[in-house]
Amino acid sequence: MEVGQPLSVIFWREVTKIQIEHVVEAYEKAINEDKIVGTKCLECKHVAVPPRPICRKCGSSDIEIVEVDPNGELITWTVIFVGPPTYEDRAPYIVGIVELENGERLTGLVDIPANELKYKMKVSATFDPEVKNAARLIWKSSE
Amino acid sequence: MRDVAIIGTGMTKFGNLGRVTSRELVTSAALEAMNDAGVERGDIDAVYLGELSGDIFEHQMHAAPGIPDYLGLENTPSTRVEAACASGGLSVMHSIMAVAGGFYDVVLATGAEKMTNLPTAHVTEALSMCADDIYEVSLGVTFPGAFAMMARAHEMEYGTTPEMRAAVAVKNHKNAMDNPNAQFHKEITIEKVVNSIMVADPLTLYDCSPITDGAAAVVVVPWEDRHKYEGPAVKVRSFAQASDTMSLHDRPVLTGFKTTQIAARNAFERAQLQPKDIDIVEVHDCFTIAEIMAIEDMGFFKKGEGGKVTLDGVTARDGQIPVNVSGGLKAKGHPIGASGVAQVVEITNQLRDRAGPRQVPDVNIGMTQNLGGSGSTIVCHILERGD
Ligand SMILES: [Zn+2]
Repeated sequence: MEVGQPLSVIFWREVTKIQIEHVVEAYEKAINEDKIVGTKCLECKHVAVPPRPICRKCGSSDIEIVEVDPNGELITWTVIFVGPPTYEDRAPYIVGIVELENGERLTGLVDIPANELKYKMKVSATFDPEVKNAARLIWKSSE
Repeated sequence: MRDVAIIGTGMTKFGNLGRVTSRELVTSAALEAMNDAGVERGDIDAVYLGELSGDIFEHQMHAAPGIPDYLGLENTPSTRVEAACASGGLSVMHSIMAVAGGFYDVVLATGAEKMTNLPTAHVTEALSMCADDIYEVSLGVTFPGAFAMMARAHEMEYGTTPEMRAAVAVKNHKNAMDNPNAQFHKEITIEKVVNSIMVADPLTLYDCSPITDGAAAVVVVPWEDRHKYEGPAVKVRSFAQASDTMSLHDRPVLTGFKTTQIAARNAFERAQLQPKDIDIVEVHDCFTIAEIMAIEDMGFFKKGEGGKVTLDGVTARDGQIPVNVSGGLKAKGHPIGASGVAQVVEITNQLRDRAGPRQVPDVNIGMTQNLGGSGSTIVCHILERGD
């Protein structure tokens, strides 16, 4: 599938109201199939990641779900030593914010040794097969 | 709209308070505030309670009616306000709005949290739920983690060093030495902060505010009624609130809070004041980096200079603009829902020359900044010495 094209399996172009109520579901369905999606505003063409019901740029709710390029640059990160109970056995683990090719940003786990992390290093999305939904996202180095 | 006064303050000791409920703590703080103000129980028209989560910490939702219940004010309207760590500030703000709008004449603004019932990992989880559950929390982002990512961004953009962040903790621990209600009465050094265990790199244990039990309360009345009561009045000059995205990654700038900038600017505009008019400030130092960003975003210092001025002592109690003379969240303690109210307690007492050994001389106008989540909610108040 070409990046930026509508993802037909989760595409409710005909019924905008249902789209608005299901942007999270659309993201989860896509990431469970190892894809990252956003919402493309049909008025101003801005693509938001993660998907949003209303365009932040122009306020339009005329949106469609599109797949986005899963590559980007790491802009900040932290090594977490004290985690919540669900992550306690994984500590220390790294989370970071990545700026995608289209300028949108997304938080994910980072599977890169701490001493190799650097600002604006190239990363790409991978997906943890053991878990479901947004928690699947793991950034790996693509340098 | 009526002008509004704060005429009484109260707070419990902050710390690990053992087997006690938040409603008992609020009752204690509220009675102190009512005695200070000289209001009778029958005078109270309404109660607001800022509380993050009686649900998780005490298995108690619907906590607000517990306050009039224990105060013997049955049937008095009571409302819980939840905005993460800004719950207390919003409890005060809604009390002010209710009085300003003429709906009530005497309102108790309270806040509380009973956090030490749970082990640290569970407290960490409860607090992390103030971030975006789907796109952040599910990926293991904690509250210290979110601020750590901002600390790193601030470090990369402006060269803010671990020592500069540590200077916030050192200052606030020093300030807390003169606050009998503070959780910690122990001075620390920059070396101790920098070398303590890492919580979320680059933030160490001493960069973080502690887990705390406590409550605080203030009495809010119309300005025109202030002389009816005993407590010396402080005038509410303005307040302002702003919201931002739930997820940190949805904000173009990670080195500060647009919400703080907007709330502070609006508060200044409404009061027709400027940052240079403020004599004393309490800001939300849940993490050391948060104080640095707050004093920049509020307009007291240029962006990127917050760490350096702190290291240079500009924000010390005897500095050019004293910040967190109470000890701040860092050393006074951070019982989530109480913190925003306790900031108003401190500024009110400073403006009434009632701050005891930590009294700052010649203070006429003070300001608070209370933050919720990773800055998704900010509320600011500007208060002025009364007549
Ligand atoms: Zn648009």
